[in-house]
Amino acid sequence: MLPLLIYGVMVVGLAVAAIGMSLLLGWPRHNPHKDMPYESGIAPTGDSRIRMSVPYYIVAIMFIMFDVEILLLYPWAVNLQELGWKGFAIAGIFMIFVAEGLIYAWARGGLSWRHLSTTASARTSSSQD
Amino acid sequence: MLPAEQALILAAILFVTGVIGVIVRRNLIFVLMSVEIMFNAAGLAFVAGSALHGQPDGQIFFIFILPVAAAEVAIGLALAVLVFQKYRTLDLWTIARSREE
Amino acid sequence: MSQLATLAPDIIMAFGGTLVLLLGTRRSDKAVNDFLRWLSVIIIGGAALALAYTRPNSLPAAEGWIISSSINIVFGVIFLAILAWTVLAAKAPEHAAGEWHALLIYAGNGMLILARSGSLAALFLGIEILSLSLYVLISFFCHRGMALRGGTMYLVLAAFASAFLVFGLALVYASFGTLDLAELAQRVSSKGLFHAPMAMLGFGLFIVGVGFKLAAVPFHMWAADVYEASPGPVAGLIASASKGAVIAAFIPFLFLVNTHGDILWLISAASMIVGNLMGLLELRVKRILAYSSIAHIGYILVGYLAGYNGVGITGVGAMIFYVVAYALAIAGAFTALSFIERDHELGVRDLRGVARVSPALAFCILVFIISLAGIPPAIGFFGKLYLFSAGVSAGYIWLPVLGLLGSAIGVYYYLRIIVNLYMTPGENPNLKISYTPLQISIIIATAAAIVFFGCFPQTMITALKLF
Repeated sequence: MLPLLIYGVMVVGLAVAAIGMSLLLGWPRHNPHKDMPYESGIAPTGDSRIRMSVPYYIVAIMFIMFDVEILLLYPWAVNLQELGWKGFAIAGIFMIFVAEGLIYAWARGGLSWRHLSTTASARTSSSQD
Repeated sequence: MLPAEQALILAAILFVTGVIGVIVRRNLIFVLMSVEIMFNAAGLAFVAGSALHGQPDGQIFFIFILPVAAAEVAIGLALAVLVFQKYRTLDLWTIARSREE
Repeated sequence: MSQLATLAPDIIMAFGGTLVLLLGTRRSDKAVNDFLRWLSVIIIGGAALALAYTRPNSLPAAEGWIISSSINIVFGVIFLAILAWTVLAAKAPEHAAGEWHALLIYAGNGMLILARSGSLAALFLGIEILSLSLYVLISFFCHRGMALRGGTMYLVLAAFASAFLVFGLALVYASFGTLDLAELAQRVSSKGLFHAPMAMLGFGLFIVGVGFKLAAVPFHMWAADVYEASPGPVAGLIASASKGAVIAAFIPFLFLVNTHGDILWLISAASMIVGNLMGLLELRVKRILAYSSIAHIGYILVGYLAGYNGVGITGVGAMIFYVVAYALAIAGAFTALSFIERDHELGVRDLRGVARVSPALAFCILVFIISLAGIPPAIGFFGKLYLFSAGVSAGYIWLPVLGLLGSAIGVYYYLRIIVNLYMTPGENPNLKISYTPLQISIIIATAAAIVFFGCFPQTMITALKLF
């Protein structure tokens, strides 16, 4: 039980210390140079809160999904020779499911920028009234 | 070479950071980020465990954690779009308290 | 080849779900929706048949990730039956029937994997496939603000819980070096958990994650809001089959009773007390059912704690019996209530006059509620009897006592529903009930099954080969 306790205390202590120390040591000091968004960098122009268009956002979500799904092929690629045709067949079945996601997004208009922006604006206007 | 135990400790610190993040933060996006940190801490612990025991199972598990975490976040972000369109805020407490209908 | 036979249900579900999803994108009118509904039922039925015909204790498939013991097969077939039931009884949305049915099938696939998991990895993937489908199903009708809010809350809390669960599994893996459940149980019994603090902590986090998914008491905050927010049949599915699948996946961890027994005892006792007391204070029907489902998880944990001990009736057998009894009743109740159309949330008073407008529906709800309350002619009575007697013979005295006390409290709020159901109308003119003949006949069949098994519980025990 004791090692567990030590472990727990260490974990919580370190996390609290990491956050607490930065608060204690780094008192908030303000001067015009420090308060610039990019200290000793290029001064930004314009408003930082640009409105991201919703289609961009949805396409980004789709990108994340397909990007990470392909990761599952890495272990197969590393052991390509050893796994042989059986491994190839299994990877093929996996690709069917990845392709299914793509076909579904296509069929629902998820790949067409115009379709995405019209549905998004329709939703926004309907939710406001 | 560093012992694998240190990786486990790092994973635990990351995990606690994520937990604190979920509890302290009120913005949906940041909560999702904190959950992602917790998932990745678990992944790191799996890889460290696989190094401790000299077998690949833990690394395979990590590869399965990544898409799952990405799927959670993808659904979360899609919901965030709808939530923002409806409530004009991503603050979880405001959303939880709003009792319309 | 036998490996492929073991995996056949999962293969059927995965490809079937894909087919339904893609077919649904082509057209959306009533004919297509009905076609998709029956196609989904056929797919689920095919998977259930394939599962029922796998030989128990055949070779583990997929590197030991999927095992097929007789308990797992029984659980899997029951969950698929409840799923098919949900597909038939639910009103699919007009615009997205393909997505709706595909998500239900994927949720079923998650439950299947979860119920038959032979490794920590399969357990994790099963839980995640199930929860990911449920996130979307809960917030499917997102034009209702409540659905969107409930879905978001469930997503945040369930993802948080999953992270606890997977970190716990990581610590367990780091200390024992195996993902295989049978191997893990063996190493735990040979090495002992008390000398492995990291594994103790890991299993503790694992219990937190499982407790969240089951809505057991310290982790129950989400239940009422989410059940109220989700469409009726989906709420029934979360309360019945998805919880049952998590319990099925929790059975291989029975060795935890030795080390974490006190924590489980506390969770069970607290769930029974808090669930019933909170139900007492509630006036909205779906929330009452949510709190009662929390209490029911407490009862089920009594069987878990009893484990394989017990004279004649083992704790695990009683638990399976109870999961079936409870799942039939709660899924039926949630679906039956979804037939009563309201523009705001359903309060107890809104039930007035249902008995006059639709006697059949009112009687079915009555049967479900009686079964949940554990009153004799319904199956719930024997479920509780077996659970508590298994608990007593395993040496737990206080848990069954608390359980009986909780049930007694519970009768009060169950009666509140029934009394309002059979009250004369007059003050409830805008009562609107709508269902198709198919939906009401399914509900009636379920109620009949509850009464039948309640009169002859032995038939179910022999059918499931429990004791």
